[in-house]
Amino acid sequence: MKGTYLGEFEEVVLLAVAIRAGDAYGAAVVTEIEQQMNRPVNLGAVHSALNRLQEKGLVESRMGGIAPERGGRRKRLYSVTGAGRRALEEVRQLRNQMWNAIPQTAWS
Amino acid sequence: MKEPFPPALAQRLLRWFCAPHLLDEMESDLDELFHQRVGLMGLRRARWRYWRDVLSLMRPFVMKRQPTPFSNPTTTDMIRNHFLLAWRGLKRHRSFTALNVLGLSVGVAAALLLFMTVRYELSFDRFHTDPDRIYRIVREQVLATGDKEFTPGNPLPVAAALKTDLPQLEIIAPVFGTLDPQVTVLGSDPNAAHATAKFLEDDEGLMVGPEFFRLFNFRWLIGQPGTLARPNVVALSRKFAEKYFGDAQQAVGKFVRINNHTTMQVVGVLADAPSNTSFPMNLVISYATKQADRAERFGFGSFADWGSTSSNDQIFVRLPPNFPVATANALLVKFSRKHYEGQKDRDKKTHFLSPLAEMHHDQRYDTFSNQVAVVPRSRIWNLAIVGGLLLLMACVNFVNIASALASRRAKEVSVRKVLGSQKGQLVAQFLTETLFMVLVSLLLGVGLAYAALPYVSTLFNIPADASLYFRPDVSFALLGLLVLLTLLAGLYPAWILSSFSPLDVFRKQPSRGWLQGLSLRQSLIVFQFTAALVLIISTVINLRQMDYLSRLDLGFDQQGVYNFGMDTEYGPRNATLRNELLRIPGVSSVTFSSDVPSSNSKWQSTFAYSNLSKDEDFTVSLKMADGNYFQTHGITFLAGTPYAVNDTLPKFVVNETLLKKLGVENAASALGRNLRLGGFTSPIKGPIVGVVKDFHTNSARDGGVQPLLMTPSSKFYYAGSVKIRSKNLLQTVDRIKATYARVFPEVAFVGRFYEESLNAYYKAEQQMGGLYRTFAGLTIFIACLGLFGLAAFTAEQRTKEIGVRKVLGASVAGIVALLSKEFVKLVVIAILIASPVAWYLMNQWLQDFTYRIDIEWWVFAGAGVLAVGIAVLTVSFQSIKAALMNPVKSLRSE
Repeated sequence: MKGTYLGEFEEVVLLAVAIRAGDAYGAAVVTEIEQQMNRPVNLGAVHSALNRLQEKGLVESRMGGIAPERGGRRKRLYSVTGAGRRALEEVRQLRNQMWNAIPQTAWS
Repeated sequence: MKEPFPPALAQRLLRWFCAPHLLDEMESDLDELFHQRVGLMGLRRARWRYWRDVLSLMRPFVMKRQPTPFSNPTTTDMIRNHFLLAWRGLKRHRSFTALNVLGLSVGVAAALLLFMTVRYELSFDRFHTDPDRIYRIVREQVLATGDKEFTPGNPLPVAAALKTDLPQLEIIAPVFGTLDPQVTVLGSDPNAAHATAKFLEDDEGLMVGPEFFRLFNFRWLIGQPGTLARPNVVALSRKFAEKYFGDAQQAVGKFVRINNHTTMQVVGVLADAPSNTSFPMNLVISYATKQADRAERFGFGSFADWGSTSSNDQIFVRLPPNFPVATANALLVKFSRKHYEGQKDRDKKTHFLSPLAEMHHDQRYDTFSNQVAVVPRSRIWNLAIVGGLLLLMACVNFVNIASALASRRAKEVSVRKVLGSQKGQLVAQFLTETLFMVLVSLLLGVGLAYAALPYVSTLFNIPADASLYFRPDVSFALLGLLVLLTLLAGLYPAWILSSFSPLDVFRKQPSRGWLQGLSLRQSLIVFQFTAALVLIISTVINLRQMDYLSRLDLGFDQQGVYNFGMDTEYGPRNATLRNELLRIPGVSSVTFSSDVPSSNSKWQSTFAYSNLSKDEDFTVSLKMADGNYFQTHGITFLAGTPYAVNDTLPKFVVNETLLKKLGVENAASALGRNLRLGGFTSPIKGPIVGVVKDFHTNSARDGGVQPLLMTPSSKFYYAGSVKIRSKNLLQTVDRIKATYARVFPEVAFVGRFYEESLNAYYKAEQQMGGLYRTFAGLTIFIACLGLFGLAAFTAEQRTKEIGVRKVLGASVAGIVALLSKEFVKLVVIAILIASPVAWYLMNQWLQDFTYRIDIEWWVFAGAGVLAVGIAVLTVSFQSIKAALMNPVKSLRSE
């Protein structure tokens, strides 16, 4: 079934959408990820991930208003759904759980 | 400052592949990022990143076009819908559909069977390694008369000479065959006296050396080819091993006696050879046996004699890879010149290479076995053409009826269009319907061919084993046919109909626009009937020729003559057998001879007449026979008398043709003149004592009457003949068999009546006649189906017209005539085209026969009348139905 697994890049994109809440569209997500991670990201990869996330029901989209900086063209705005939020929390929880499970002696 | 701009080419690329509904979003994203990046990293890198982004967007979800709101939810639903509609449509026109499917499936089945035959015939001896490098060494002999004679035979020394003169040849394999031996199964004791199991193996007994198995892929189950280097050893096929010894394992090491003179040990068992080989591989004797034989029991001639040639001695060679055949042939010309030097006729004989593939096709050269007929390529192509023609006719029918049917649906199409159907959908629907029908027909056709195979395998002379033909690649061919037929039969009506303007259809009669279409259909009908007529005329001529041959006065009496085989080993007992046979009531005379009067075997020899020291420049046919031959076979003398039964001194009886060729006018004047007959071991000299009226020395196709010499020579009496004057033939034959078994307990008896063997000579022609009859019937059937469908269609189209005519007082007969007339016209055109074509083809075929019928005009007239009759009958069923219809009914409804 789709949506049971969240890939690493998908997680990053989902987080970027959450950070840009209310103004998350393709280019914005790219910029956000590039700034946060300090590495170049392809627009195609981002759109592809957004598309997948939408299919999994983790993000939803609506057409935003006309933006003058985009030559009067409309942008598709993404937002994290309830399921998306739960997926992020699950990932985080899993990480924490695993972090906690690391014995102190592991680093010494 | 000028505004920085993104790379134009990348933009164009994006606009090309990106789905329109996503383009805005993608472009604006790209632009925004581009402008940001120009500030951050400069124009060059920004443009570079732009390119990378565009390329990264080449993904399916970006390219996929958005479904339009009016399109169908999914494609599969539409296909299901098409099939449903197709099913309904076909059900509504049940009879037409049945006609169509029937015609096509019969056509496909027949074509399939024909193509299988073609394929089988072309597959002969192709299973060996590098079959294209294997050749048979054959010989052309130019006679002093300028005539050319061809033989697959080579003098015995040729094989050894080739080894030294042409070392380029990779393998040289001499083959002798067939021995047609009688095999006595001895078992473990080579000296067993009382062996009861005797088999006469006609067309078996090949003599080969070990190298034969390096050239040809015949597999050994037990034993090694190397063992065939010894004399007096034999390898059996599994089939024969089981026949002789019950079990293949048991056979090895056991003994058999060949022709009651040579005991041989079984050294191996071969896998049963496939049926598509010209080599009879059931009984393989070592070639060393022949080399060790001094008594000429395994073929005539010695290994030092260049003068004697038998077509039983053949040589197969393999050329090195990429060795040009022309070079090899040039070497063989040199070879021939060198070795025939000093021979009396040295410039006449030239050896050359004939490809192995031609062994099954070149009628100039004999093969080893009569069981496998040599099939000329022309006959194979004829079959392929007939198959193609049948398929084409069936397809034409299919297209014809399908397009006629489609035009009836103009209204339906218009309604669909008005309701918003798009052209593509309509085409798809028509194609689906056609596909459906073609699929069903093809499956039916394959089933039909499969079911018919056991019945037609004798007609086609092919093995009935279905697994030989129904191989995976056949399904590819069928798939191709499926696509092709669907497109051919479906696209035309689909295209025409789907491009109808709905307005036109509602405004006026759709059939108006179809007048042009009708002429296409008319020409298709003409084509079909032409094909059918050509086949009918050919069949009639073929039948008449065969009938003529069977009635042909062969110059001797076949009535009640029973022939059987003799074993020359026991010649001294022949007189005993004759006396015993003559005691059977009903047997009026008995003779022993080398050959029956008319047969396929040719024994030719050089001879001298006017000057005994110089050969005549043509050869003469030989038959050795005792003096009873003429009486037994009812041959009449023009001059002189037969020699006495017990006469062993050289005396000759000649035929008219020989005298004519020698230029002797008066038969009586030749009596007493001396002849010298050379050719085999030692020449015979003797006087002519009788001249017989010509009788057929060979089958009518092979020249009929040859110049003939007959002389007594008991060494060569391979055949016995008995003239029976008795009502109860079968009982007499039984008593003959019993007597024979008593006199020759060592010899297996094989005999048959002359009529039976004569029929066997024309087996190929009769088989061809059967094929013609079958396919003439099939083509006329398919043509009639097409005509029937079209007549039905026309009658229906003109229902209203007929109604009006009837109201105005037209008679039933008048209407039937009106409807039939145009079809009869088409058939008449077909007759005019078919007659010259058929005449030309059959005239070519008849050229093969020395005795042939004239092609008479009434054959064409008869075929024409038949075709018109069938056409009228076919059409009248529909036209009478239409004419009898109540006009009230046809005119009431709109």
